[in-house]
Amino acid sequence: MKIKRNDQPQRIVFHPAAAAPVPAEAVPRQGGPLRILGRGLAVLGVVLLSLVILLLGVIVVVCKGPSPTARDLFVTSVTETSAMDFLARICFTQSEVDEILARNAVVADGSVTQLSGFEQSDKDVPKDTIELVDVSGPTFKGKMLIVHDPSRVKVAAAPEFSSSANGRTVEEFVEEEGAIAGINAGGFVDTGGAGTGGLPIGLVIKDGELLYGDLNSSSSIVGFDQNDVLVVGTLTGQECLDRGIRDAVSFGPAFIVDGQAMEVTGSGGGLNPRTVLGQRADGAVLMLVIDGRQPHSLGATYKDCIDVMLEYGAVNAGNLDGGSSTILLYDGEVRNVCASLYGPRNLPTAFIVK
Amino acid sequence: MTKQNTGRRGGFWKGLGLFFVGMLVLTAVLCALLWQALKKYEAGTPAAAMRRYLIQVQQQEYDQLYEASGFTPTEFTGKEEYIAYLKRLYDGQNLSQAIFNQRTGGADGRRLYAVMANGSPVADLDVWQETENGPWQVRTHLDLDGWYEVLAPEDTDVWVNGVLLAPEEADTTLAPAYAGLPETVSGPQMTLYRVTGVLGEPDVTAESENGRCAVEQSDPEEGEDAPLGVYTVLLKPDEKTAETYKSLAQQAAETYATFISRDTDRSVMLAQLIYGSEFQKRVASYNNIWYAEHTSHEFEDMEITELLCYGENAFTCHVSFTYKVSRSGGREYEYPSQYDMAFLKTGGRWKLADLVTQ
Repeated sequence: MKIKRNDQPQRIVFHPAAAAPVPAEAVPRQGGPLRILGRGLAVLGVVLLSLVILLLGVIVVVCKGPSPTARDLFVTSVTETSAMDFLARICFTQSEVDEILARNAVVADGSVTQLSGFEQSDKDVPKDTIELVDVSGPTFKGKMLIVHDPSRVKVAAAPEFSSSANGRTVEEFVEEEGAIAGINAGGFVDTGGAGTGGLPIGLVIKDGELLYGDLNSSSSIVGFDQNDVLVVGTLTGQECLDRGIRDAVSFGPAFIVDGQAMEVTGSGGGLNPRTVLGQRADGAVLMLVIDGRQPHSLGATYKDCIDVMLEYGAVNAGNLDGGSSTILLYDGEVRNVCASLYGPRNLPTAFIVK
Repeated sequence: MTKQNTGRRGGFWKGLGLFFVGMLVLTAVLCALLWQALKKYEAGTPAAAMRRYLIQVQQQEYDQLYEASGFTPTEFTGKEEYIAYLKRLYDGQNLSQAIFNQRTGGADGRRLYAVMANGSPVADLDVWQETENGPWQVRTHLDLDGWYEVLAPEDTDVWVNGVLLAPEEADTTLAPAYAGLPETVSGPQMTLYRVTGVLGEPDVTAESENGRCAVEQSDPEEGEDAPLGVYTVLLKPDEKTAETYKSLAQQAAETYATFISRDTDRSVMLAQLIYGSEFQKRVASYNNIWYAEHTSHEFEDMEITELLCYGENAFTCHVSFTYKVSRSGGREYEYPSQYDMAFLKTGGRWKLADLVTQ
């Protein structure tokens, strides 16, 4: 073997096939593991960096580009999610984000349900009927569970409310309560999207008892009174008890109050998974879940939810916790596609159908 | 061999660099495409169409806005009124930061949005598409479904937005102040116009040979079929006639007050009233014998205002004065008084048709 010499120092390696050490250049260059690893990491780093730059570019174009509608939709969508709300602040200050949110919301007029009874239904449907129907819109798909007997819809609550406790999945709530169906209900402390579902926000009332919350603090509630009328609007814990609320959780905003749909400004919230509870004039309860953050369904705005509820005849309706919490369980099966990558979340409360 | 090897090593990093540059170029291209796509998307949103509409408003392109609105003129509302209405709605408003609240109530597939500026509603917009996926059309929402009530004395010409109203298409009704007359006596009639197709507040004007006309606006009663507004044409007498009417009103007011205090005989009082009217019946049945004995009476601060006539034979007015009654021992009673009085000439003589104390 003729080895060409030059003035450069040569690296000598041991090649398994060679009897004697040979210059490295003479060996087919398969590279050492470190070199391969280094180059692999370099490629990975460049790819990741490129993707980050691409993502930033897309965010900048959406936020500062030619479409205020797309900007508002983006900001409202990401800020409704604890884990992603930082994305909005890449291009905007907090006050700018707040301004955008204010321009794209449900206009609350402070009204609270006053209806006290039901109208006779035109249709002769047995009271114990439960219907499951598909709903869809330009950007969303979802399911609507229609429960004709409102007295069957109740709140299920975790046995303990604290930041260190774990909530329950809707499946567990349904199983423990011996229910036929369930949806997620009230909000909970979910810092950074890592909440355990153990600490509710606002109040929780079950069987007429205030399980959690302050008697004197106001919050937007969604619940049923002793006459099984769905009550939505802002009330204190004491006002809830005075009105005879039997089961309620805190969330909002109210979408429809006594047949009057709330006005919506701008996009009316972002595109996200949604859970909405409504009631028709004949008392039938409408449990709506809308999938989101997925290829088959981006999600729905508040306005979309109001439109769906009006289409199904709701006279009262209120928004429940959405996002990764959105889930509908009926007859032993999860009927929607939960947006949470880690499976159904632990929650402090659920609305169940007994 | 070494050169070759150095080239291969440099080739990797060079390739990686080129890959990175390529990714940057790809990112730039994708962002440019996204920019264009968003531009197209935005142009197709209702919000963009409304913003374009408001820009036209701010640039006062009212002729174009009128033409694009597809508005069908009514008897009282033509292009001029339409544009005047837009100006009343939008002039002085800061529309650059306007936001749009979607409301329920859009009809015929149209969406209804409220334009909010500085937190206050400015106007409503109708937003619709002529064809599926077609461009969004915008126009200011008009409420032409309501109606206005215009009440005018007979023989008065009334114009709404410059259009003369036809009395033959209107109803007649007794002037409200004469509701208590007996059936045998005819009170002054007024013409009741029901005006539809008016955009915004109507401009009501009137003329009469019987006096100077003034138009008074009042709030309508609430109800499903209530008018949007009530306009009453008032006829004000000329100065000479006004003096005559004031004199009559003062004399009648004093007669009534002194009748209550038993200083005027019942027969004198009744002679000034229309027999069979509600007011005459009240006076006839009133017993004034309980009024305390007193030594004198006088009137102070007599003022006669709101003098209105209904043709040549009827007028109403408002009389205010202080009636003072003195009793022996220096005791004095004061009665601040306010009367709404209605007079009617019947059988060639002026009579008091009604008196309402305020």
